[in-house]
Amino acid sequence: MDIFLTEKHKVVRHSVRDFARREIVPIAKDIDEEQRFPWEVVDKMAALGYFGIQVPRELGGAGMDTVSYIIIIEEISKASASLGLCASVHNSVALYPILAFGNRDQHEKFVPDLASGKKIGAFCLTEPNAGSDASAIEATAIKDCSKNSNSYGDKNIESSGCKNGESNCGKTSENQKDGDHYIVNANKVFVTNGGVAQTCLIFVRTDPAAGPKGISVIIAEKGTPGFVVGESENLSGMRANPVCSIRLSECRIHKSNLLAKEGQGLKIGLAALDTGRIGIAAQAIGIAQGALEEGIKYAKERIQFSVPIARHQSIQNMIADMGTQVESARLMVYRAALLKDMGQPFSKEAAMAKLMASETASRVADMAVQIHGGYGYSKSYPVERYYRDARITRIYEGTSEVHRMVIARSLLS
Amino acid sequence: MRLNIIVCVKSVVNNMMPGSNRSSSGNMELNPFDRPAIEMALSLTKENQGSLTVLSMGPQTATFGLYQAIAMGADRGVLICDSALKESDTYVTAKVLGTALLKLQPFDLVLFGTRSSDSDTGHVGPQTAQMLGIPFIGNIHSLAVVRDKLLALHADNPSTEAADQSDSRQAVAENMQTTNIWSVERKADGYVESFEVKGRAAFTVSSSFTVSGETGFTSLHGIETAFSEKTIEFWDNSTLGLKAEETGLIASPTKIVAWNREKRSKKCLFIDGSPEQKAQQLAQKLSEAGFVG
Repeated sequence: MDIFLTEKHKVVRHSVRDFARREIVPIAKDIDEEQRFPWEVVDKMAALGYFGIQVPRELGGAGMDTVSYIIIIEEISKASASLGLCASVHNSVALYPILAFGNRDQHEKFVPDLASGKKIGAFCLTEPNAGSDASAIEATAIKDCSKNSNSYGDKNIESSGCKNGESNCGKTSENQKDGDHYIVNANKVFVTNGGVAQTCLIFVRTDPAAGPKGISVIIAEKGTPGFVVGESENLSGMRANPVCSIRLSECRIHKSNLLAKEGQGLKIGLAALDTGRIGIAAQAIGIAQGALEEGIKYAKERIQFSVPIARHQSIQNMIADMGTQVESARLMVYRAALLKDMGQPFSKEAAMAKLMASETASRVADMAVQIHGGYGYSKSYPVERYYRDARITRIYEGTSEVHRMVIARSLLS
Repeated sequence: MRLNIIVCVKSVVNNMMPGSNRSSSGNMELNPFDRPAIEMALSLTKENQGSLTVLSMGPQTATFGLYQAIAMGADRGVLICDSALKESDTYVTAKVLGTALLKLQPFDLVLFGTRSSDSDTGHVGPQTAQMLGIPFIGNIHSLAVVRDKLLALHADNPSTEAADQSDSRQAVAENMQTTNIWSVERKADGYVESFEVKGRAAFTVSSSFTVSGETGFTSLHGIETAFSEKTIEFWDNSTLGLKAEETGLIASPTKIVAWNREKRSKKCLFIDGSPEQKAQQLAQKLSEAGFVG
């Protein structure tokens, strides 16, 4: 794989691999079991620039390319997929849309704190009734002097507060209704980084009557009145990432926090997910590589029938398949990243890479458990964690089925 | 007053393929024993607004370690790279580094790691100091530059003749640029030895040295700066005025005549008996092996 890498990429890989080995590996098992977000390590990741990998240097980032980004996500994920997930979501679907679609004021207001890791970002699209079908979201953001009614949640409340002149638009008094604010109501679920995020991209309907064309993105900050973070989900894997629900109830947010223009939400979401898929694919490669290395290590150590089990052909076949599949998937991930760095279309390739890498991670982790036998089903060995962590990569940021839809649509067009 | 510090570093092979000593940037890294020397130099240059140059001798692939050093914060990187240098022993390496250091003048201080993780000789630091004829202390863990004291030294000996005053001030100024007093500490045999060293000096830095508050890891910002803003200067024998026959294996007084992989064997010993007997036997075995007692 090194044929694709420059000397800079190799220095980046050496540096992040060293960090992951010394700082993340020793705590990976405990933070999973304790379902704990390790701020002490996250702060170090922030200081090293891992939260602003592709952000231009003038905005406080490292100014690196997509290949560097996937190297970093793979190496962190190999040590702890939960932390790889945190960095991937923060860099790609939270920070990237602000960089790509935000105006200069938004860049100056939000990007430096996100790039330095002072604030963690989140991407809030999924709702109880809107998963793969993102256009089905019910969250709303209505201008505070609009006559439109709030179509989500507290349906009897006039979001504008203009009706009858009562102070019924959340915390907005009558003389604050200047038309410069949105009243946001949203119930977002399965928000990665949700428990620690301070800057969230909220997908909302600014024009409930306009269907998919009425969807927009509002940047909401934790601490805004009406912004409520739910309890962490008790997940099977990725347990060190505080995945939560986030509810915005009559939340008054200035119109300057609207990303791009009203109605561009789906366009922003799809662009973010194209980029995000490369990160999740890199994460899956990290999990798969970790499972492969653990499988090889155990196969050489475990003695059965008087020889290390690595001498048995059935184990060798598994190791060969695992290694081949990991390398195949990695090639696809690198291709997508290289295309993006070259400014070429990469949507189909990113979808293919994510599909292949996530399914590879599941298969390879499964085989690693099989090589470990009963011990692989115990929390005493890391493959048990890889097995749980791998599973979600086939679901989030687009299920394998949705990816097949995207790929088929591209191939058939 | 700025401090000009030079740290001599080495790129070492960290993952040699079986049966091969071929190196590529993929399996080379900055000698881990050089990192404390770079960190010590950086803490001094930050305090004194100085500059840090990293100097290395090695093949083209040694740029990897130099870039790592620059990513840590070094200002300039120089690689002495010439096919005639191949298989130089530590004596010739020190001679070449010493020649390069003279070309890099003016400098105030030269630092080295205590040894390299591959060849593990520990020779190059002290040998280079000897080549330059400058004081040397090995395995230091603390270093500070004392300048107030230097001013006091000159204040104690003012010139009495008015005509000489301007010359004297100039001499002091020149001296100030080239003379420092280093306050140095090293550990030896259960004691901490404190030294005062005047003028240009060379030290090897203990692997125990760390800068408080620093993570010890290289940031992405540092790596990006190293590759986008800095370039490595390549020098060869002609740059240094050295002839091919003065370097490499031919000029080396020591030669490796054989290179065989060390045979290592692991032996598993089971101890039987009651828990007390097991503990007693274990303690005895550990004592015999020199691990305890």
